[in-house]
Amino acid sequence: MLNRRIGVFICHCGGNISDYVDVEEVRKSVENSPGVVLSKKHMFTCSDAAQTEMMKDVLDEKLDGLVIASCSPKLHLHTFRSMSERAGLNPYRYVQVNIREQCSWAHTDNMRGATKKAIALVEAGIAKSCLMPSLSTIRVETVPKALIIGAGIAGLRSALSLARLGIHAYLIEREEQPGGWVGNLGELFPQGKKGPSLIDSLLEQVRREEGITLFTGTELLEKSGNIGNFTVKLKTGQSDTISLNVGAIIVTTGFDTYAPQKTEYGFNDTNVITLAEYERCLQEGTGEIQYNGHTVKRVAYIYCVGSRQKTSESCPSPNTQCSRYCCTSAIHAAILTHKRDATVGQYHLYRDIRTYGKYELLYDEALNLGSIFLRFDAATPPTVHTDGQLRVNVHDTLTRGEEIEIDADLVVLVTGMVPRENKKLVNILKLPIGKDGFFNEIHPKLRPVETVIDGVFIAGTCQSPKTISESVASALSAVSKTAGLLKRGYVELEPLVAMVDADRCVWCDECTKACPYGAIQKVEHNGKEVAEIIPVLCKGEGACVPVCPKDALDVEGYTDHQITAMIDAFSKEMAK
Amino acid sequence: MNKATTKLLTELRKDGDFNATACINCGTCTGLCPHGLDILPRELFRYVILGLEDKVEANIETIYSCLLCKMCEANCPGDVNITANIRTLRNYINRKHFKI
Amino acid sequence: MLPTDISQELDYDICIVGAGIAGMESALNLGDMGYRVLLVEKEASIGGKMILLSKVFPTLDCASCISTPKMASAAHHPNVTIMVYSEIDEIERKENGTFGVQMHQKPTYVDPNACIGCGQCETACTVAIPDEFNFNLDARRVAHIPFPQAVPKKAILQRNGQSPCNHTCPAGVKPHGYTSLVRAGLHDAAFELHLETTPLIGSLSRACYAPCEKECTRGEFEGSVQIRAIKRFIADRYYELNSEPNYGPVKERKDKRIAIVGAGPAGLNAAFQLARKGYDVTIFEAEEKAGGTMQYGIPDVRLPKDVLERDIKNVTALGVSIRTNTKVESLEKLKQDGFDAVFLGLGCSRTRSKREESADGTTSVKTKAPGRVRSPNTTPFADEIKLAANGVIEINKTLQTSLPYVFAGGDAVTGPLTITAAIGQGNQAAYFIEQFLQGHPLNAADLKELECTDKLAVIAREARLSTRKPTKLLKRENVSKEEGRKAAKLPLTEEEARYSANRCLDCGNCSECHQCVSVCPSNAIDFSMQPIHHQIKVGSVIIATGFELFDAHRKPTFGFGKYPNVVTAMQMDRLLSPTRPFNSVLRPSDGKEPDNIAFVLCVGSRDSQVDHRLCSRVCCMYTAKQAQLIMGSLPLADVTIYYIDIRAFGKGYDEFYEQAKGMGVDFVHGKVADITESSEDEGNLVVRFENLTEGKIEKREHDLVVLSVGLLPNTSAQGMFRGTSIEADNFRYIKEMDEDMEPGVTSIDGVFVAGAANAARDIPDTILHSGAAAVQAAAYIENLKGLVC
Repeated sequence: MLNRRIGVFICHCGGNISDYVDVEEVRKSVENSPGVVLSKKHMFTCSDAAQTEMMKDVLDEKLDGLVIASCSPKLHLHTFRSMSERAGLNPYRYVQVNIREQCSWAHTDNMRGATKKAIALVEAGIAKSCLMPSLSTIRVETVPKALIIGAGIAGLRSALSLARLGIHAYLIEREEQPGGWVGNLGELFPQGKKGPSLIDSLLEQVRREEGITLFTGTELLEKSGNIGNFTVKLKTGQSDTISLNVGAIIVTTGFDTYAPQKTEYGFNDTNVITLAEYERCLQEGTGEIQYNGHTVKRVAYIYCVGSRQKTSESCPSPNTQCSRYCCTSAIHAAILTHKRDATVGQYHLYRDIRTYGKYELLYDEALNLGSIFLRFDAATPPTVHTDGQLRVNVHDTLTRGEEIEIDADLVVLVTGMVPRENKKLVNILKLPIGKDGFFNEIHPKLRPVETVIDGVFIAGTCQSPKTISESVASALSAVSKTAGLLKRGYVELEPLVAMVDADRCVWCDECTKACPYGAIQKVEHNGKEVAEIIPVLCKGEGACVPVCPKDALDVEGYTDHQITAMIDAFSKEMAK
Repeated sequence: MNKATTKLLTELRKDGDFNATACINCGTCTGLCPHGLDILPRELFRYVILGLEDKVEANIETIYSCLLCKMCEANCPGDVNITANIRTLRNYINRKHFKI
Repeated sequence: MLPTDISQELDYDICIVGAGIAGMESALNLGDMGYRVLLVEKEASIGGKMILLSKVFPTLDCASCISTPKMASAAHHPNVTIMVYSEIDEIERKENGTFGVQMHQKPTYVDPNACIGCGQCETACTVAIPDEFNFNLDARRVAHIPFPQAVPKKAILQRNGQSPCNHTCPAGVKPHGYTSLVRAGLHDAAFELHLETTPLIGSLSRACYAPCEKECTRGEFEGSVQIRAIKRFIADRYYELNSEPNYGPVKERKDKRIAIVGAGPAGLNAAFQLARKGYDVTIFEAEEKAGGTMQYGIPDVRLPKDVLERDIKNVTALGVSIRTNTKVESLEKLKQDGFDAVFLGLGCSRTRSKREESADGTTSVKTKAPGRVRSPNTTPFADEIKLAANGVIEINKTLQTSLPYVFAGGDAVTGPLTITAAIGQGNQAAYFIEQFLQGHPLNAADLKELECTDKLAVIAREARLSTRKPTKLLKRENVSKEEGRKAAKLPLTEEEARYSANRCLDCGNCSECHQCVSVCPSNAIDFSMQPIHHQIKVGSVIIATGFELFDAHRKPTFGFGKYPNVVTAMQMDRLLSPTRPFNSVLRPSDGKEPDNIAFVLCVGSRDSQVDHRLCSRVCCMYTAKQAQLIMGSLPLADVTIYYIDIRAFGKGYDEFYEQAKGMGVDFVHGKVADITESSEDEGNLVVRFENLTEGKIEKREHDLVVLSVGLLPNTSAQGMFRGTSIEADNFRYIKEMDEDMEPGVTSIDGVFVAGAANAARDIPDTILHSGAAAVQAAAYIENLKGLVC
């Protein structure tokens, strides 16, 4: 341990750490710890300038270990590993210590305490670094094929793009008829294309494309294997199954529309319908609009139904999200209505008009075509009266809360998008779900199509509400990540996997029961049966370690020896 | 409680152009008006759009207060022709109310 | 059909124009897929606007924390090459579907291979200009590193042409340079800078005709900077403190000898420059004293001879010997005497007007000879070198005469001109003589300097910086009439000199004071850098040039530019960012921490009056973000947001909006109609608006107002394409031909668009759009390769 040359770098993180932890004190405290030859601090260790300096230090000081105390490894583990590699240091000899999420941000009111804790954490990191060996990644060949689950607009479009890049796409669709929601929509904004013809033309391209295989009436049954080489089992038709090998999976299962409760805005009345139903009505016929056997001359739209909800007695688990597409969609429906029959009076009851970006022009168009907009406060929503003449009452905040009554032939509830239930798929793929119920990405800003499940991507509205062009962009972004993964021909997996001491192992089978990934198998070793880890399947989770009665298991990078050393260093520091 | 109707707007248009459809209800016009009358002109035009005739009748003085200075019009983000609308309103009131 | 591997002929598969978040994301995606990417950025660092932000919505991640790793990844990706401070001149689509890109790297005047990013040049630089990275909230030096996380972290000198005074001086003196040094109180350095160009500082300060003052842009305001008077201050002060030069002959000698004929300004200067290089120089002067026109042509009252003599000491101290009373009549003889090169600074001599006696001898009349004729003293050499009809020496562009080892300059070449011009030719000749002696080819283009700054642009810029009050011309007070007449001839005091120097407008930004050169530990400063032009063959192009911010000056009702405490949201984001210019959020007028801040939404958006009816999409969210950050850093502050609609439409956005409300941010429904300054509290502002919820007109006072400015298209890419132009939509964004199904596809096949160059977008949408554009470009390349039909 005394022969080590470890460099320690403490990050200020632009104030995120240094505002709450005395970085200089931390740096000074660990300067002379055993094994440490260098202790420095930086404003932003992740910046290119700091990385260049650290790399120079690695070379000049001949460092054989690196400890960086900064933010969560979730953000920069790979950043600093690549940096170490570029400096000629084995990337696994770098240890990340989190003194931001686990220290500075958690103790913003106690600088002394936070500083002491940071020192202890760094000491523990140094202790670990002293025991970290050089490791190599596990290289796995990838299959240049992908599975796309859901053949709506996002699924269809991703399949086409994948094929154009030379990656074979297996596109599966639960329903008999592919096309998702778009297949049932009428005229779309902003270019006026028709949903069914759009889907038809995509399907035609899909069918012509040799690089795409489309399965309808098909579901995913099972997934096994590892990133770059999954084995997926599909159920096609009533009872047939088929097994396929793919390198990556893209989930494009879409959304559901909010189903208003019967008591919501008079939804039990036949003339109170959802926006989707109204759009279908608009697709039929020409000239005057007919619904339910009568002519429609007055439409009242109520916005934000099922979105932006607050917790209340009637709404114990609210949909807090804004569904993004609905303001534009409702306004577009009003434009189509007007174009069909200019005598129809349309009233829009809204909270905020969210026609963002270029969609603002649609709002302008609807206004100029005669749509009238009234604004209500979330605390006093409009009321729908279905006794006698259908009418909507609203306190219009644009006229100081004046109560306005609107007679209507149709009340259209502008319903939002809600996550589509799919417990089976979620279980098979272990898909993470966010607070809002949609599938969760790794980082909403910078990594919106990737999930924590390696090789599984999400795109389209299953990740969050979107318009069609946004879904397509999202789908292509997922294709981009998939291609980045598969075009190289191989991936490199983490070597921080479990290891078996074959001499100690007596094959009691406890570990295989504990492993959720099926990463342990029985083999013969020197005439006895022992357990062996399958590295490509092992996630380094460690559930196998404590159940072994012979202490024969350990996880590389988290060995008993290392953890014990860390605990010792930490407690020694805290006891001071 | 007022019934929303387009009758007033239709009637008004007999007396000239009236178009306040581009209004996005930002309040800039009312804010800039040198008179500082709370309903001039945004809320006033809204009464017309919603068909609240009694409110229009109740605010005749305000309608005639407008100096037609165009401070509002020059700054309206929707490019509403505010002064033309005021003139039409006045014509309508002249006809309907003052019977001129 | 296309050749199957067209990629062999390409330098890069894809060229991406713009290295903001969209450009970097596309580059990384394509690099991961195995394509070779060239990423071109016009600023000195990649990162775009995102790196300048504080935190980002809705996660409140620190913008630096999430963009620096992207920047580092892009910089180090094995498949991505970055060219910064570079611009695209033209892109041409070839018949085979590939593209020829013509671009140039702008000179940074710092060698990037030598620069270690230490920042010493920045500390030493004497010119401060408004810092565009902090949106003019503070100033920075001309030599600078763009910001601490810059990738690459290299210094640049941001020159704006050559200042008119520097550009026009025939002698090659840098008046902007020494003025800037005097301004900084570095008077010795000012003398030394001047000495680099000429030893005749004292003489010029009396006798130069000061073309620099005529060109001085300040002259368009109250009057030029008194450059010559400043020069006189420098010379007089230095000579007062140093009666002798503090150097001797150069130690490292060169074994060539040079003869200078004529100890006038041209000859003395040529001698000085060559002696500094270590050559053995002898000046032959026919008259009794050295100095030429300066000695014999200008009266003592104008140019005191002791000043001239001290100037000449600057030359002789280098070991130059001046042999007066020695006339040279043969160039061949000089060669035989062992001189390897000759400079002829012969000058012109004067013929006085004659007095003629009348025929009867009673009166004498001055002949009507044309004044004091000056003719070149070249007659002795008429048969050795070529002369023109009027006797001047014929030279080529490198001041070489018809005899290769003989160079010439000054009046004998130009005809009667100025001392200053003669000095310039002496300098040039010295350069070419050295090239000749070293056996290098003589190239006139070597001495080419940067083009002159656009004075009109400087005048417009100064008019814009309305907070700068003009300084009066220097006036002497309490002086008698007699003294007043002499005032023009009296030297400036130090205070006056610095006052005068402070009037300089720094037209070309860099003054060429050379302080950076003197402190750089790696000798990285290189003023001779020229633009480097490249012709690159690529398979496809992605335009990722981002957006412009709406210029808040265009809404005069909000008082931006008039009231110091009305700032833009970008300025506020800088105030909140970890790399902020000040230690906390301050208001510009008095540095006070504000406690009652207003945000005005929809400035320049949803507004037909500024021809931008579109919504800019990000302002509601960034305003809510800034509001939350302010409530965090100034817990006692009140924050009010005036809005028309709140557009919090993305994932987690509405929740973020609710969170801001929960923190106590006051969201007021009603757009601000106008802003005026408070008559009571200095610097405070009064906003007037219709409070739509109450239906009343209200006025509220705030101590700081932030204008949430919108996003406008960056139209720079539109003129880039040869023979065709890329189609723009009605709002001048680059148009997607089928925005539903084919994101990123433009009107030119093979050219794609990513991010805000196509429409106002926030960061998550930009990431998605860039991934899509990358895939489109990849598919296009695959098509070119003929692998997939």
